[in-house]
Amino acid sequence: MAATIPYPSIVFVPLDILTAEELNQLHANTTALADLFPLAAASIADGAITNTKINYSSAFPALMSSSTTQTTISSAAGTFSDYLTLDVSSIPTGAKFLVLAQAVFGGGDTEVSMGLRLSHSSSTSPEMWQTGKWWKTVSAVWKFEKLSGVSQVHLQAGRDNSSTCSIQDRVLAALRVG
Amino acid sequence: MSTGSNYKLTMIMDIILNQVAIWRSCGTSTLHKRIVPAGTQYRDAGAAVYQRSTAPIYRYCKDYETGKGKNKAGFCLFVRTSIDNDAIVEKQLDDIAETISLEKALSVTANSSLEAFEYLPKLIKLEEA
Repeated sequence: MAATIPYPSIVFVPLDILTAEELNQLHANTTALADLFPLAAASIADGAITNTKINYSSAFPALMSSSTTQTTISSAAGTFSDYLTLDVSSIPTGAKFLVLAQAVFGGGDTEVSMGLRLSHSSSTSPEMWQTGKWWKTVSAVWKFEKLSGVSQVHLQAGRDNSSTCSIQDRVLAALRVG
Repeated sequence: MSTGSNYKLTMIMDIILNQVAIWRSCGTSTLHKRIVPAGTQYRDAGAAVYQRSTAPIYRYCKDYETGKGKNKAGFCLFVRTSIDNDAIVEKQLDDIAETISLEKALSVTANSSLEAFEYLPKLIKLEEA
């Protein structure tokens, strides 16, 4: 059953001087909402509200999507596969957003590369790069304007030469900023 | 300075006659009009004045939407003016609303509070209907 407040149509804007009657009506609305809240809270289990159930389209900056894993994998020598994928389809076209990426690499002390590939790209290699050493945490932030064809962002990593690369903890997140 | 004095000073600084302001949605898609009580202080062309009961001031507000489909945002335009003509004011608010971008509306939605709103560089004028 939909909850109602006693005075749903009070219209006011900043610097309005409300009458005593209108202030009483606002107070009655607040009281009604406060009375309703314990009922709503009791019916929502811990963890029932996830970020996918929150509508971010009317507010920013907001975390649009995030993905993380601690499974260790190895990249094939000389290839760049998608090691973590982020759904950014809910970001409106034209909006600006940041992609934050971090990964821990294991192995020797030669250089590794981490990058992003956008879903509208025909390339199988990352389009943006951040390099670092093995056994180090490599972090990067890229800023994008959302294009209409982009629905996913893929984190890729590896080495250009013939050696394999161990990739441990990985985090990928998108944050809308404009 | 007492809290009451601070509040009065804020009111003088913030009410600017005829200048249109943007805020989050106020809850009415039709033009809403309220008479401003006599004795309210406001700025008219930079000068602080008291409103007299013989020269009433009206507050108009209306909700608008910008964007399409899922990428929509609501906002409200409001203005305080001595113009006592709903049609003239509503036409000008409608015209100004057409110029508000989705990004601007989203920004207003995110930053508005009971005290926080934003004046636009737009004035309501008494034009011929």
